[in-house]
Amino acid sequence: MPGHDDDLSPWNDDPLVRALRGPGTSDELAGQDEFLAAFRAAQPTAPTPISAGRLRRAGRRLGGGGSAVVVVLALGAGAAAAAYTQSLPDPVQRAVHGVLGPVGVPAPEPTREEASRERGATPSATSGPGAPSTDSSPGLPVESPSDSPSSMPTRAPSETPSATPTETPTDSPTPTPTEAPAPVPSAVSLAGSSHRAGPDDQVPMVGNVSASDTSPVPGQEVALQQRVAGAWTSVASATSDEAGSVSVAAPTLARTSSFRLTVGDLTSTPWRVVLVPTLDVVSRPDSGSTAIAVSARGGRQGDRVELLRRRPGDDVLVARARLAADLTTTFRVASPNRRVAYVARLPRTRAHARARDAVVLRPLTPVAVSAAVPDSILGPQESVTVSGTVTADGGIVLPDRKVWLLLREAGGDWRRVGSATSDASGSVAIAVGPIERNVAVRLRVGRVRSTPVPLRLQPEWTTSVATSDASAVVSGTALGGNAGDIVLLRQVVGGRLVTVRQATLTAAGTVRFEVPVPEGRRDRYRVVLERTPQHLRTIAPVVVRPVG
Amino acid sequence: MTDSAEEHELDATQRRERPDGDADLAPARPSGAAPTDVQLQDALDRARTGDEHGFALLWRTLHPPLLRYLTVRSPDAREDVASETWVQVVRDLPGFGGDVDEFRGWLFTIARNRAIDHGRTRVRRSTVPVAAPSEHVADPLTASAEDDAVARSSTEEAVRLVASLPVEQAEMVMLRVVAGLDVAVVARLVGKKPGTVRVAVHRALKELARDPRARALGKVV
Repeated sequence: MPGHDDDLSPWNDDPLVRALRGPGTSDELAGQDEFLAAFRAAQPTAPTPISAGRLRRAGRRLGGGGSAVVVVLALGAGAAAAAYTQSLPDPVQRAVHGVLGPVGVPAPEPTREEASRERGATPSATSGPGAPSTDSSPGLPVESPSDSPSSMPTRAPSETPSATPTETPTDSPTPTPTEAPAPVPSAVSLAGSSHRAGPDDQVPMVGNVSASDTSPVPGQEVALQQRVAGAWTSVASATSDEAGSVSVAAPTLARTSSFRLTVGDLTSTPWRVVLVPTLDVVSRPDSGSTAIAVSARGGRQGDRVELLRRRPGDDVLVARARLAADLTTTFRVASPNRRVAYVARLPRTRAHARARDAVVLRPLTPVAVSAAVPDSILGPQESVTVSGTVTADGGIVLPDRKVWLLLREAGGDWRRVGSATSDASGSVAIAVGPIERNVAVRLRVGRVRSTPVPLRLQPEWTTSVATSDASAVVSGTALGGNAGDIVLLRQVVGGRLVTVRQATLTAAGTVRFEVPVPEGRRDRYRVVLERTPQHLRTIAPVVVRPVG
Repeated sequence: MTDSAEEHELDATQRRERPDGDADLAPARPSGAAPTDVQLQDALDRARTGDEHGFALLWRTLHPPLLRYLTVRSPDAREDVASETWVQVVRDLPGFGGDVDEFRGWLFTIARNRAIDHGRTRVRRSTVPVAAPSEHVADPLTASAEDDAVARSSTEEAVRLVASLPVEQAEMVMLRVVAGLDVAVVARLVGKKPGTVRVAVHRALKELARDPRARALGKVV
């Protein structure tokens, strides 16, 4: 048994591992003879290979449903193997051939008399069958492939009745082949490649038409019939070949059906094919719930469909529904917060076998969060609301997600300044401000961050002019400015701005310029707080009038 | 002469000395003595040349683990899949050139592919099917029918416990523990990294070892 495994050696004495590696039980080993027969049949000198279907039926042992199985089981496994080597008594061999002929069981050797009639030749003492030994694989013992008492042929091949002529024909007929009577069908058999078929499958079937002496009957028109609503209906036809065989394909199934072959008044044993629907389950998550759509090809309108939630060792029935006319149905479940598997089950009915499929629902995770502000330029006393939406794959909005507002100043790190929970539409709104300098804000949910949104500070000027006979003084206070910020006084001259003074803001945010008093005209100035990393540029117009 | 060659020759000698000459074709029966790899290699070599005895030994050794694996992998159709697997093995065996380890990997690869083909890749979790009602009739020549029943029930319970694991993990456990495939082979088969397979199997065995039902197996195995 297994055991090269190094890393599993500590488990060699574990009760579970020992049980798993336990010796084969009698149930597991019950089909040995059939598999040996398959092996034997695959050898170059062996007869027609045995199909997987035959082994499958043998493997099942019970409930195979086909007449072939019944016969095989009735004979015993060893006898089935013996049938392939023609070592069964003739009546039994003939019966097995009648059913299993299509899958490789030969007919019994004709007796001397039968052979004589068929071949028109005079039998000789050396022309006895002896087939079993010559058909067996060379090198194998003559004994049955199994020494099981129930399955062992009790006679050596040379002792078969047909091999021992008991009488010599009294006449010496030398009929020509043209004088042989045309064989008349007396039996017809049918076997399919499977008892199960999907909605689109066509099950290949083979039949065999034989005469009363089991010889093949070629050239016979046979019809494949399907049982529909209690009546047999022809669905295909074919003509038997030289070996008496016919090959037909059953039509695709709308429901579980039985098929049979007919030749004149003869009918074969029905071959039942069970329709196996194809279940397809997909999930379509929404913001708060998930739709689980089930389609059942091969199902029927009105069929019950069950949805179960899968749990370790125990599936829990969650809901039931009926298939609609389009053979689909939809369940709606709450979107999970963790991985949950659901199983959709279509129970067996008279029209089809059961089917099932599973789907795994994973919690929706945010993949994006947006962030926007109505105006990104703020005055010294203004606040702003940052709004955004949390979404998952496919643009599905996610409610009940905690969203952080992050803020960063120039040269600093992102820090949390507020939070909120997304509403039913996945939206969130968080206020920020007033700000003292330029900043950037963004929203974050989990590890997902929005694009940064800049917020710019726009300082505000308060200016005044005091005029006397000798001079005029322009004063200003810049709210939002900082000590040391450069302030320019620019005069409008001939439609152009000319810088006439420069000063810096005081710690109180004030500035003062002394200018000449105009005579007979007004002088127009601009007080300009220059842009810095902390704020935008701000300009205030000032007019100095002449005295009087 | 190497040890394995000596063992091989000894095995061949013992085979020649069997009085009835067909001991390998004895009726299938439970047996506690598993054949060695050398014996299996010899059986494989003989089966390749069409020797029925060799094939019988291979089948008796590998069919039970194959069925157990398929109980987890394809519970609805394990007999069908096993049959199709052996049919393909029988068909292609003459062209197979590997050793017995490679044969084991080949066998389970075929089984896995056939199970996938069967369209029933999902393992049922709530009801793990056990073998069909047995037609087994106690054979006085076999080991005690009671022993057989005990072994069968404990094996079925063990397989049932493994089947309660997540599907992928259960499959890896069966391929490693029951089929006896190497980590690399299992990893290639299930499309995982070797480390993933190793960790998954160990975690599964540890988890199962804590299950009182698994501990109870020790009382009957």
